[in-house]
Amino acid sequence: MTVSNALANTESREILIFTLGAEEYGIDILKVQEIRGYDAVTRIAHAPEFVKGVINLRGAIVPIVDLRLKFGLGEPTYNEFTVVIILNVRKRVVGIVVDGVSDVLRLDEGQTRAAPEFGAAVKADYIEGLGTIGDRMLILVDIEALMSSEEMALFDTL
Amino acid sequence: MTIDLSQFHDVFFDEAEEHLASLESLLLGLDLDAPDTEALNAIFRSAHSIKGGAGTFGFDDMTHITHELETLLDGVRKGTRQLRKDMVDVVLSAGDTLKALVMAHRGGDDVPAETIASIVTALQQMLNDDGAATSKAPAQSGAPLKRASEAYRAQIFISPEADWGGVLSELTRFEGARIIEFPAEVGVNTPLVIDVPAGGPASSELEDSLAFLLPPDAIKIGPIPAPEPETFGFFDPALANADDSFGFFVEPEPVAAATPAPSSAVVEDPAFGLFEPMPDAAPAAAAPVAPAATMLADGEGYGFFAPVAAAPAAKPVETKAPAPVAKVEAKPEAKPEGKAEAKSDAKQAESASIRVGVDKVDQLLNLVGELVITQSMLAQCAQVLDSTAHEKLLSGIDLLERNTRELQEAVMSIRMLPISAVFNRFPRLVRDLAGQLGKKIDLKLIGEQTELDKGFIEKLSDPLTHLVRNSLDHGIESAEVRRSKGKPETGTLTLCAFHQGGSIVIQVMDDGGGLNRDKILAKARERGMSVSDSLTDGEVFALIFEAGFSTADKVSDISGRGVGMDVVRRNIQQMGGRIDIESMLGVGTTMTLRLPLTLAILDGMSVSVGDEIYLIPLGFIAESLQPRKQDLRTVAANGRVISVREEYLPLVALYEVFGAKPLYPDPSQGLCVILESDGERVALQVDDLLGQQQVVIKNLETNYRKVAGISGATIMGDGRVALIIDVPALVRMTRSRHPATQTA
Repeated sequence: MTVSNALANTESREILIFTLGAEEYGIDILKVQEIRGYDAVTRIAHAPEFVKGVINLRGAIVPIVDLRLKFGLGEPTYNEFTVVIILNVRKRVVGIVVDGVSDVLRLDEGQTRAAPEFGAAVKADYIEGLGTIGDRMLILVDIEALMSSEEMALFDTL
Repeated sequence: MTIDLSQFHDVFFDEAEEHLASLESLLLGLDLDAPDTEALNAIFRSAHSIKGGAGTFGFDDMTHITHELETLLDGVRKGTRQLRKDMVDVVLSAGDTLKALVMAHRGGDDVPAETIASIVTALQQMLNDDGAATSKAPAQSGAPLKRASEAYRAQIFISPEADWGGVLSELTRFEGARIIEFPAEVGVNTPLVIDVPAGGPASSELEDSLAFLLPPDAIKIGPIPAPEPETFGFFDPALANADDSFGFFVEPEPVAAATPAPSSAVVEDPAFGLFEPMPDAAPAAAAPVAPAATMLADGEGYGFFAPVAAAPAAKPVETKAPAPVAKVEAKPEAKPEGKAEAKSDAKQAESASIRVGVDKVDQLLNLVGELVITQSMLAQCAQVLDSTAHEKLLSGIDLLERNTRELQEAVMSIRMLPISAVFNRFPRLVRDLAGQLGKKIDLKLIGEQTELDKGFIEKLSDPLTHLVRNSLDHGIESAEVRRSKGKPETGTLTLCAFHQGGSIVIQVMDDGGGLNRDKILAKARERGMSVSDSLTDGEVFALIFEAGFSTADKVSDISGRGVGMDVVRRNIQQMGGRIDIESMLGVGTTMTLRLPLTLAILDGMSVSVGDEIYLIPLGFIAESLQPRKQDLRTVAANGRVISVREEYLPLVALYEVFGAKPLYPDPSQGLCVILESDGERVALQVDDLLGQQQVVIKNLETNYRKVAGISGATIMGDGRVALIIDVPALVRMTRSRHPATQTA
């Protein structure tokens, strides 16, 4: 298992950290378009349970995926504190619902380790590595690969 | 200061393409035995205009071809040459080469020099074939002018509808020519009289250069009568300087002459700057512009009128007009001005269009779409307001709604073009293919003026071409076969377009052999498709849209490789349309394309199921009703039907299809919307109808995937997303679920 090229090539980069249950996940901040609250989602028939539906994001129709449902973590409640991270992956816009967004951190190369083979909720294929900051452990997710994966069933063709 | 002519290249290319297109369509419309003079003139004008432009911009290859082309066409137009079929062929292929050249100059593939040479040779051969008939070579701007051995006087009768500007600007090119008399009135009775001295351009030159602006009998050449003593003082000294073409009517001071130049060189609309003085045309800037103007003025009349109008109407208009100009004789004084006015009207009508990039129109359309959403959002907010307390606000919102709707319609109409833009390519295609296939085919075009979105026009041409090729190749039989079947030898291919409900219908009809159901079924089985004999004709015929499916016995250049029909269907579906086939063996085939009116906006009915809202395109809704309990029946335990005026329709509950939680699971409490698609009717059970509205279609697939039964999404007045129901897909889904009701 190697640390992905994207990580290896950048000396340090900014990571947006969000929580799912007790775990902390980090994604490349450059993939994040904005963070907003959860509101008025239009359900789509025959979609997987974790696809909550679509929203109107300033005129664009954007699907919303609840990662808590997808990975069976945290409490899938929807209230004014529910956070949606709007991502820009492969020229598409997708929103993900998470338990909370904690902070944005700069992560140096030295702070990342290759992920061991372990049974995280997120498949190892989509994990770029583990980041350590103090005594916190971040699971760095290749959000682009995850969102465009077949199991997310978000896109017709890749 | 130099003018970068390349900035005009695109305009020239666009115009050249238009001219070529009109040349082609006119040529194909010609009756070889009795060609229409007007059409011949128009064909000649097209060729001439291209030549003029090509010459101006230095596209010598194009000038070369058009020169020969023009010579040939001129002979035909004047009746010195008989129009023949081979001549039409050569002219058509010359047109093709010119098109290729335009593409090449635009940055496309180069046209090999041999192609140009061979076309020129073919044209010259055609010219020489007629030998003696080609006594007169028309005037070419590049060719040396023929000189008149004797002075002569020409009387030019210009009818009111003739192109005055064109005539006058042609005349300006005649050095030494002097206007003796201007017509007192617009009409054929009083001629424009000019004198040309010995050594000036020959009278044939004059005839030729005016011939495409005026009918041949409008020019009378004769000797100059004995000079009348009281020649108009206005012209004499001025004309000594014959080199300055603009010095023709005005004294030759360069500034005055150059004044119109900026307007003609930069602005396309010749009426611009016509009556307006151009105060910013400073002499320094104007003078170098003049050559460009002279070039552009060729045959166009640009920049010509300002001086004319300036001369007689010196005081009000042209402040720069120097004193001698005002010394105009009384007679011509009023007239040229009136002429200029009439002329400017005509020119304005002609040029009352502007070229705008499609992206700009699209941007406008998007903005209007957003405006519509905002407006309906406002309208929705206003609904809760007390109508007496907020009367003004509410009436303002009403007004806004009307204005928005009108604005939307107006913007939409910018994008609408007549379908003739697509149809026009087919006469040529059919002619060429019929020749290749050795079949006799008549092409009929119906409803060419039907308007549709420009976006469709571009996307339609490929699929339609495929369909037409297919009909010609596989549909219409050879003359012998047709004769043996007792049909007329000449097959008929009809292209027909019309509006029907919310869609545009385009039909490609042939009276050929029709599709053979058994053959298609056999072919399908051969290809390992699971098909049953119980399929309807429509379903069997739809098999030919499967990839790689061809029933043609042999593969030809034209079609038969089985590539195409699947592409056709995909293209049409991408446009939001459908294609259906009707066919009868031995009688013919009709392919029917149905397209929505526009790409972006949909008239829909919003319906609710539980707390969800869906939109149904209005075009599919036949009626809505509340079913009575006794009208509901079950068929084979799981299928339900509803009886509507003696007709049993399958009943589909929207909540079942989309897995929603309905307010009224019982159909008799909810409402039924009767949907009609492809000749099939289905009753769709919903909770309630919310209202009819125009919505902007948003693609669901931009950020998500395709969803069965959903054709897109839209944003409602409250900002929420509503999904648009794909009715044809829904009906198809129903049919597969309710096989029993099909015969009911």
